[in-house]
Amino acid sequence: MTLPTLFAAVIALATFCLAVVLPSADPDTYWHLASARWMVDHGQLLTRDPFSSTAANAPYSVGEWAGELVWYAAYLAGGWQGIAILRALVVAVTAFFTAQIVLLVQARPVFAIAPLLAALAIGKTTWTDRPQLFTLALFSLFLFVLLRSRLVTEARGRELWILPPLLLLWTNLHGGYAIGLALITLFGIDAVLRRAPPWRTLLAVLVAGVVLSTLNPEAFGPLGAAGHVTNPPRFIAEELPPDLFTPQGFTFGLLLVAALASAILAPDKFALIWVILLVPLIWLGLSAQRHLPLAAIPLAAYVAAAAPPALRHLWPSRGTGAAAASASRIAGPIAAGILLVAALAAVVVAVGLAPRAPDETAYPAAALAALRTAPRELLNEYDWGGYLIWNAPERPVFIDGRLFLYVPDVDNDYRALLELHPGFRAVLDARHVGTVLLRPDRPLVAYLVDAGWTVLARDERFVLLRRT
Amino acid sequence: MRRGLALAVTVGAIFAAVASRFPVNDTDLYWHLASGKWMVEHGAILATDQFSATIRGAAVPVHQWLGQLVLWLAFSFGSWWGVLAVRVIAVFVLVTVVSWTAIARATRPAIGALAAFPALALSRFVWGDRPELLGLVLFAIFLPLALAARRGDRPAQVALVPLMALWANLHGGFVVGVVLLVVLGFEAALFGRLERRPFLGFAALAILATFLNPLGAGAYASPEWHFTNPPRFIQEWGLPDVTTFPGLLFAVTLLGALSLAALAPSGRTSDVAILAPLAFLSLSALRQMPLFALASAPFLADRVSALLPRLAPRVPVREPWRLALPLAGLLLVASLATAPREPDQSGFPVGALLALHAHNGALFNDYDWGGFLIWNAPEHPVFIDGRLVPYIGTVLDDYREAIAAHPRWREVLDRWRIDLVLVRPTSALAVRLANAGWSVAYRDDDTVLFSRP
Repeated sequence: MTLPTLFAAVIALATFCLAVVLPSADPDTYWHLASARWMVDHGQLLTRDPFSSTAANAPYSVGEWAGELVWYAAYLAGGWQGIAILRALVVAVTAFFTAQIVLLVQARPVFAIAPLLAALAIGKTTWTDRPQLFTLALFSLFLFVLLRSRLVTEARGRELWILPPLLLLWTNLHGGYAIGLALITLFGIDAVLRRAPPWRTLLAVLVAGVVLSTLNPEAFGPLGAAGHVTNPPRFIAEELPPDLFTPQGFTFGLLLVAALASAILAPDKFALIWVILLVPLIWLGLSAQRHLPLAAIPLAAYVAAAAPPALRHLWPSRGTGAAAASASRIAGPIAAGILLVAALAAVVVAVGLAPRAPDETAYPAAALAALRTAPRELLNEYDWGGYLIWNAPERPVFIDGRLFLYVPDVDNDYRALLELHPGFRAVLDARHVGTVLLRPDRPLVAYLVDAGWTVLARDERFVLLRRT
Repeated sequence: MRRGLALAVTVGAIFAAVASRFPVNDTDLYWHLASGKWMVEHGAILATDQFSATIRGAAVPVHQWLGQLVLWLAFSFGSWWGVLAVRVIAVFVLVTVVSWTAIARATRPAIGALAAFPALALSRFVWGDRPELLGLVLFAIFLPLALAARRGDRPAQVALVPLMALWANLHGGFVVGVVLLVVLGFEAALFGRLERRPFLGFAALAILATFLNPLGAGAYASPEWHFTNPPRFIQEWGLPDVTTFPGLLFAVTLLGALSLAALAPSGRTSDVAILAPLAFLSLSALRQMPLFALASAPFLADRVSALLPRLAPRVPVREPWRLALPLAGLLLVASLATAPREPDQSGFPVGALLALHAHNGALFNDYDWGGFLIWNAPEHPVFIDGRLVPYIGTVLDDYREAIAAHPRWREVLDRWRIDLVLVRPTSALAVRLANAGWSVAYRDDDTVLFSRP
């Protein structure tokens, strides 16, 4: 095992420990689990919606069917602890390959560690328990393979042939596989511009990848992905542009500025591939918060590679540091070995600390009992839809995180109701809403209480109302 | 250095002509005019609120007093056309300066003009009729001046001092200049060697000059608040969105700068000192995007020229002064002569004014209409308007509670003894009031005026 691999393993294990102790808190986890449960119970792919009242029997996207089944398998194996362990494993894989990417371009850990930790910190907001997490891991793996081929083993390129079968897996795990195809394309453009021999291998890999990526129940997904990227649904928090005044946005801003400063100051012999990679990926990252980690990983690698020469440009070194280099050759492996053992021990402890229950503080858990006796047609908060699908399956939801099912008609009606647009009462009647489960500060709640609807249950998080 | 000035003047005149086509319609212009008018009538700086019912007598920001005075004087001499003329001249100067600095750094004028284009196109979105545009002009002048000062140019060093003093009284964006002077100062101290001492002295003087304003150090408070707590519910303070056209222009300049820097590094620490802080600032809010774009135009021109040396002409390009100056002059005169003389009030409750004048009582109004009402219905002190900062706290919270008809909306209207509500018919509050028995005193497609029963 080489020193960079050892170091990457330590990072991966440490990240595993951080990820495994987090409780499950993503509202979309529930409907993914419910979808997988339905598929297992019925022995077939879920192709029509069975969970909502507003889109009942509408065609259903099956692009993530394998990803949903994997999460459900983890749930069956270990409950919510199984979910946490799977999440931590996938995050550890991401961290391992992210570290490998950074160490590929910057062998000295002292210069690699800061941008690496920045990339991992930015990625933390996407440590969610849903198929999207597989995209983060596979993206880091793809980038490592392609970058290693480009920077280290370019003449051969044989390792690139692992990518098409991975694409076949990716396309059935999550719709983000389009970014994998985009990565191969970018490296192909780089090879063509340099008139480098691997362009033929990359083209062949791309063609094979495109063909294999159609082997899923929902072919031609990249077209939908492109539409999603260029026109993101901004009313969903994770689809908003990054905010510089969040920890994630602030860290990304610092990385971007460090990259700009380093680029201005000192040349990099691999500048072309960096430009080809960074321009589209940074644009993607700036387009929505959920894409930021995909930009952060290559950006961190670039900063790790470019910052030291930039610093040397500012402060030219005065000595060879031979003694220090000699010491690090001995101390490095010893330190890494000690850290690895410590990290393994920490993993064992952390797994024991994995939460056995999800974090339900954001959900109307106390409303479930009263909900069972309320009229059938329900209007619920968007963020609670998945939770209700899983915990109150007898009650079809009005709306949930499966956005594509509800745009535009149901989504427009949902907004008209929650924001009290003119004509909202007609919408309430047209949708035959008999039960309302919303946050207490919603304008509609104030109106319905004034209009005499019965309050069945309430606490500081929700109000459950029944039409009189 | 006059290289490229002829083309820059022409580009400036073209953009000024474009700017002259849009009638005055900025929501904030009205309270700026009202403030300027008050200052002239009372012979004093407007330091406490005179226009609202909710913050009457409270301290208000004064860091734009000079800009407000300029706008009011322009209105006094030329009515709405006078205000628009200020915009045209400001845009002309802004575009000329930015184009000139880019063209001067390029081996071919066309490269400079192309490099400046995204920034100039992006600046279109801040051609508002308010002191902010004047501040942006000073920002554009500040950048080449600061860099020249950093290189040891004595006239530039001297000019920085009055420029910063002027800027600190025109608009709160002067804080950006202060930050850049501090960063350039550190850069000069660390890497500048011989030329650093005079520059450091003049930079310090220039920063001290910013305290020559009615509030002194207090002038820093409002801009600081806006940067660290951008009010995201106001559209211009929203998040930069690279999937929109303005956001795409910004992304082009940001990613263009990164790409060209990587492919053809300049090695200049002064470039880092200017571009790095502005890149960070520009990511924070929509209205900050043009700052990086404007600053990066000369850098883009310079790096494209360095990357493509074959494009450099073998003989110097002659400046077409004989054509450029008359053309630019003609264009400017024609633009001003044919500019709209009335404001675009389509976004304002013009039709409700008559009904408003006929009713008495405390008013609750839509945020975007506050300035318009200050100017057109001064007998009705507003509930809130675009001067945001003085309202932060109870008033802003109450406004947001009521306008969206959150559960405490009735209590808010009762506590402020509101008798008149002027809002958009589509607002949740309008929907609730219609069902709560309030009388409709006026209504059209975009406006509804309710009076308490």
